[in-house]
Amino acid sequence: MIVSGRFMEFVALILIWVLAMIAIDKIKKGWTVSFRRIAGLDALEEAVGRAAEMGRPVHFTSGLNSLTGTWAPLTVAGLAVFGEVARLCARYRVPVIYSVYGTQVIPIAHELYKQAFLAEGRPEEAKPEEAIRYLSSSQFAYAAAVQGIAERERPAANIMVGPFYAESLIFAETFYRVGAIQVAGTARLYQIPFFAIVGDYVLIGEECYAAGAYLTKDPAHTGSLFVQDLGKMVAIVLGVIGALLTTAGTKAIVEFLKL
Amino acid sequence: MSLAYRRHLPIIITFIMGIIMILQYFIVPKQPVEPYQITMQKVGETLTNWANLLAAFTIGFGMVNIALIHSRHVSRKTPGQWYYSAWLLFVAVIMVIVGIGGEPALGINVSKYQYDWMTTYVFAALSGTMYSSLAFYITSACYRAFRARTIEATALLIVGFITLMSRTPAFQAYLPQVIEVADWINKYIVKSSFRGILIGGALGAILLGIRTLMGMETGYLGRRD
Repeated sequence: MIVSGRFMEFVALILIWVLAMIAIDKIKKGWTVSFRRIAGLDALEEAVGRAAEMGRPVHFTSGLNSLTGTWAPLTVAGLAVFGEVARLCARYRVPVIYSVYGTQVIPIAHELYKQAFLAEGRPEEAKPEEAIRYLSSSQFAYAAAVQGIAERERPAANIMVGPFYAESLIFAETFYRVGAIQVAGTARLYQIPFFAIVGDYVLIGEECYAAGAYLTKDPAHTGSLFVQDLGKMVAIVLGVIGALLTTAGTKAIVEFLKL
Repeated sequence: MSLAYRRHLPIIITFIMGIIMILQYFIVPKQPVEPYQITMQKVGETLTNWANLLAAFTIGFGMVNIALIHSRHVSRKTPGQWYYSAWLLFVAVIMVIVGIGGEPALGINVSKYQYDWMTTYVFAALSGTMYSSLAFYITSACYRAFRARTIEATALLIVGFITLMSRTPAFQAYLPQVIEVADWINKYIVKSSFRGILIGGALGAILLGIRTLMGMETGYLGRRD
């Protein structure tokens, strides 16, 4: 019934799912797992605090976001980070500016923003009509608009988590010039080096996807992070064994994974 | 509104639709033959169309958002902003009028030439300008980043220099060995690093999807709990 060539993918998906449920169940029952700190996510409070001290806003962008494209998971990850940023901004009474590229996230961003202020007990201070700004769905018109916000409003912190393309370095350099601390993260391979060079804190690939679980600090969610790391170890072992076997002249692992 | 309506119903819908799309990927080949495969393919295409329609519907949110924010700037004469907002609103209205006037789908062909002209000679030209300015941002970023202060920064400087020089005609003509070195770095070091990041990212996306289907990741609903 499974399409030829996708059987091992199906097995891997089921295995990951079952392991995630087992890990979550064990953690709920008291099993403790320690994780390395993700500096970029820990720095969010530092960035918002800096903005509060300087009396300047915080800028957030989730890049060329889309909830229906290939990078929809990265957009969801960016929204998870925005939820945390909005909550911190509500707590420290710092204006936040969310520059929106794709219109699909506007209602979600509005809701996250209002929920954040509600959670901090300040629903009357929420101004989503000023914070959530749709700029453009054209890449470089969006980039120009973000640059304009950076130059005119001079945010003290710039947080960028999501799918970015060529405009990533434009943002990073512009916000560096206005003196903003930058937390940047993406899973798009060709933009990660740019963020690593110019960002104060960087989230590389999987760290963006882990944000939702990491920031909620819910023990159940961290079970999925444990399975994520387990999957990486399995991938490393398979890679090493496969490389050795291929060097020895047999493609057993490759053929097995192609089932 | 009850919790069942606000929270549980959207999660149930997400779970059902997610399972359908996952099953569609695993049981429908490129050329479906069996009746159940054809049915699943049609269901998947319908759901994808629904998603695209919903996404297109949200364009209205964007238009309203722009109109509200920028008309507020104009009415309050926000210093350093209001004239940009006025110009944006003016050009947006012009483009909408010209665009509708030249829309073949509506059977109107009054201003198609003007729309094409504005798209090609104004919008595309400005986009190209922004893209080309990227070169200067890369230069300034490299100037700041390529400093031999630490071992990692020194390695970055050396590899960056080799890669840059391998693309210049002078080095390609008089020192072609640098091209081989750059290709080796790209083929073995860069590609292997990218694959490692790709595996980690793929696992992260899978686990995010599983958390979403299980109702643990509710950011897409506009709530963090």
